[in-house]
Amino acid sequence: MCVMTEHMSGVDRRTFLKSTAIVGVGTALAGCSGSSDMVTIGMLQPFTGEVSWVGESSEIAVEIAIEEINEAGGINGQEIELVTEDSEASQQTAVSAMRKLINTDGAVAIIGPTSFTLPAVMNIAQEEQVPQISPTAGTSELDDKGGEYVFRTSTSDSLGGKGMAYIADQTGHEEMAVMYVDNQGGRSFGKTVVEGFEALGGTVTEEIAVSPGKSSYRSELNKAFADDPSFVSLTCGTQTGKTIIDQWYEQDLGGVWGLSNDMQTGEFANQMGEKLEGSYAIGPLSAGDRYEQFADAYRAASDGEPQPFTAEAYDAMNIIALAAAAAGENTSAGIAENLIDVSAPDGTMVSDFVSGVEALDNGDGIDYEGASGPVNMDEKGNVRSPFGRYKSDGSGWQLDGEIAAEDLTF
Amino acid sequence: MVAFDPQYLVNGVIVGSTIALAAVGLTMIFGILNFINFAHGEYLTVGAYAAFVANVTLGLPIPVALLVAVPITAGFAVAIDRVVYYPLRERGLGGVGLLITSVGLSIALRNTIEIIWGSKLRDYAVPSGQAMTIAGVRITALQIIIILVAVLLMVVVHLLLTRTILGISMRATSSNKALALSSGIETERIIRWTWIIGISLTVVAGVLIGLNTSIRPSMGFRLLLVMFAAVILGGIGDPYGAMLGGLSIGIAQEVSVAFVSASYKPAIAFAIMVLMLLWRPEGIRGENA
Amino acid sequence: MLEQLSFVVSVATVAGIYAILTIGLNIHWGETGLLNFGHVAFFAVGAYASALLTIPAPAQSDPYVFGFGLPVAFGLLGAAVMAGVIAVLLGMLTLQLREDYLAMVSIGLAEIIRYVMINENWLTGGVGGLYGIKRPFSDVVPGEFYGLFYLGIVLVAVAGCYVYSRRLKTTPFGRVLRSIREDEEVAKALGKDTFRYRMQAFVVGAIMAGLAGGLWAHYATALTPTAFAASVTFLTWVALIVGGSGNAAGAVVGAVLIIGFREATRFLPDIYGLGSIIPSLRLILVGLLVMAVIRYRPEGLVPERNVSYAEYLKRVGGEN
Repeated sequence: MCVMTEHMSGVDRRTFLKSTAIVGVGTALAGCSGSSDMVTIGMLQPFTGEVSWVGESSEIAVEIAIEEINEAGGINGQEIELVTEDSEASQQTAVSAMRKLINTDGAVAIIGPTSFTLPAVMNIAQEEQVPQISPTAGTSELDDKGGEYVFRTSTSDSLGGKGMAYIADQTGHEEMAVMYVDNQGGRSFGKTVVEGFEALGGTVTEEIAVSPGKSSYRSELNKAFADDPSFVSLTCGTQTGKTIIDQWYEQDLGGVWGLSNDMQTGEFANQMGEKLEGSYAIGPLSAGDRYEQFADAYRAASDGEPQPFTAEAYDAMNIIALAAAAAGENTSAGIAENLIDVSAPDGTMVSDFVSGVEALDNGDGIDYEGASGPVNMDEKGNVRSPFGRYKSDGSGWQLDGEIAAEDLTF
Repeated sequence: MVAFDPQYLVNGVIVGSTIALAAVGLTMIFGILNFINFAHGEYLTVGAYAAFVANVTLGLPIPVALLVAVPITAGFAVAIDRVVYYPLRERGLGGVGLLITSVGLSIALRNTIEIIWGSKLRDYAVPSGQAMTIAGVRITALQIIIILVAVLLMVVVHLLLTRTILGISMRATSSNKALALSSGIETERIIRWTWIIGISLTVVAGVLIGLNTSIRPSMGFRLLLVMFAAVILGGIGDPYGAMLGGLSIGIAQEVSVAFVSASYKPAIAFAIMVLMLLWRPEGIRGENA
Repeated sequence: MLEQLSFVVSVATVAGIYAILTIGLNIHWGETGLLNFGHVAFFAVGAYASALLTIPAPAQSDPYVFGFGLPVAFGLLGAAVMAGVIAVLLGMLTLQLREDYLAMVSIGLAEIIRYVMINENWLTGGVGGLYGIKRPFSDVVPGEFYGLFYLGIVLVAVAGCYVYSRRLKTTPFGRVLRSIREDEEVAKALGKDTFRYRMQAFVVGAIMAGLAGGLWAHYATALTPTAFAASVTFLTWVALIVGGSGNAAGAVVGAVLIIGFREATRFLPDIYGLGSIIPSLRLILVGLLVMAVIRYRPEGLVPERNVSYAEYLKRVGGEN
């Protein structure tokens, strides 16, 4: 198991340094490939650590899109090559990973990363003028910072949070408690729920920030349910969410849940089964067939159900490709300039790469509608999509109501 | 929060008894080996996963799975000690060198587990019951069992330490190794048994935690500092102190939720540890063994 | 060519920042025998101090309260000062403790500080963090050369810390630190106020960590508490031990090697089938590297001069 053998005890310092250096430089040079009939797209996501599933699942989704695109002849005649790097959900690592993707691998666009590391790499995208699209980052911190080189296909929590408040209000609840994890994603969503609900005239009985990944939340639940709220908004991801809901059920605390969009997956609803029955979740208003098409492809490619944000990752790849097609060249500048155009709601509606290219060839502007929703980016690179109110029937999420963006102007 | 809600206390006792078990295991080992083993948490994780394989993959009932996991993990720990730490001790290395090695070992082990089982939460195959309400507090049958098992083991440890020759020798060796050696106690054998008992307790703690919640590759590592806090609170090498320390920290963490932001909860254990070290570094029970 | 270099420049910058951290830790452990496991706390304090001093005054929607818009030089100075202040406070509480207790207390305190950073929005912006931290001379230096320019700044800082650390060894102050490290009782018997000396060493090392934090803040231009986890401390320790504690050269070598190794493993060829586990594999390799170095070359790559191997082992051994 040990890297070196017994015979090498007392390894000479020079030898050690030399061998490490050779390994490093050698493989670094090997890494600098880049043939001229390929265009490189970079993906920066966490592949290790607590949220390693994010990287793994978004890679599958993006590869599905790439296969479809390459089969249709690639973008502007070049096939796509995906290079991935692990951000380890650590900012220092993400910074060097980003630079490697852009400078060493020559990526013309980056997909990712998550809210954990996005703040640290945003300025690199701006500096190097390489567009990046995050399929997962919901943090409302980003609301006014994107649009030039930083974009996202996931909705901002400032909208999602209001949507959750709206759901509670619409389903007849006057009091709610709000629980969220104390990280960028959780806090921005949770705070918006509180503000939104109060703006609608409701009362928030308790606001609790929890530490993610703990093994027992029974005391936090005790506090949240102390005043017997009938509705509790929960923002925390499926791992922590599973623990919280398991223990809530075990403690028989009553009320219904309102889960954030990262928990609105068929797999989670199925896994939690009857514990979730009757509870709500907010999610993108499913593009119906288009989503199913993607979901089928995902199941075929991975033997599992689509994870949260995979549809958003798939869409991110598609609009990058369409933006490049619209620009007529596979360059960062071309993509950055056209991303908003190809997604905005004016032009011929297309829902896949092939029809998009066709329309562009005919000289039409396009509006890409994807697997995760209408994918309409505003000038700040945010998507404003309508939401769906989902209710669990004990084995899956059923659409229970729709929420238009106009409903959320309170 | 007008009247104090005893539910917090009960939650604290459940969590605290599992921490206490793990801490007793750690304090025994720490007391004898005298270095801060950052890979200790991984033994807890390995034990929990060994039981998982036995229970979920092989279909054995939980008590059997536990009985299987203990020797497997103990064997694993002894093997690791032989391969990794023993050669270093032979060269006279100690303290910091071993500590840094344990940091490297912990990273390697944790990620190996992640490669094999993935990072998602896993559960043991036990029926998930609903809580009963007894005297105004909610508790499940499983949780009662957890507390009972933990208490039972602590009683066993107590009996071991006070009624058996092995136990008495362990206490002697832990408080004064040189003296123990000179009075004819075979310290190597004692050390081996300390390892085995310490690891066994840690494994049981891991399985109990898994039963109370879920298992994941980072479970041991996350608990590491809390375990050390409990050990320090109780006084290094003092099993009774560790029991008290573990319970206290568990209770303090859960009760704190009622008063401060729940997102400070993990910091509570550290705060207690820090205060303890500043006020009374020899632990609650003072110079004792 | 400049493009390809950019990645290397970026890695070198991070390595340089870690080198400063490691030199600081060397002053704690290598020179004075202080087992400080909370080093990241000074790094964090320095980073946030420099950020808060240099970002513009907060807007209505910003949760944080401070923002002074001062030039970067003030920020870095403030970073060093704040880290020093925190070191004095922490030192007063902890330096009289036994060595391994200091290790535990320092971890605990560093974690508490991290939770404070997460929760106290008015101070640090909480988990949302601080954005838009300015870079020194960003309007003067042309874009493509900025990476190199900043690396230059970092290298100057590394050089400064290195020279200072080497000088320290030869001064009477440095020699007293040595003697405290070897045997505190003897030093006390000779009439030295060992507490004062340890405190001073503690503060000096902390100031360096604070400076490193400030440099990080202006490099990353955004800060969130996730950047200041305990893993930073551990990585610094690994760098120190691998490089060789007891001298600044070892600290620098160790930092460069560890960061370089970690980044070089990105280029591991994606052998078919192994792809999904490569990220975990990289971390396992780092763990194994640490174990291998301690096993086969415990004095580190750059051994301390004038110290015999046997003596070194004894020292690294504590009481064994």
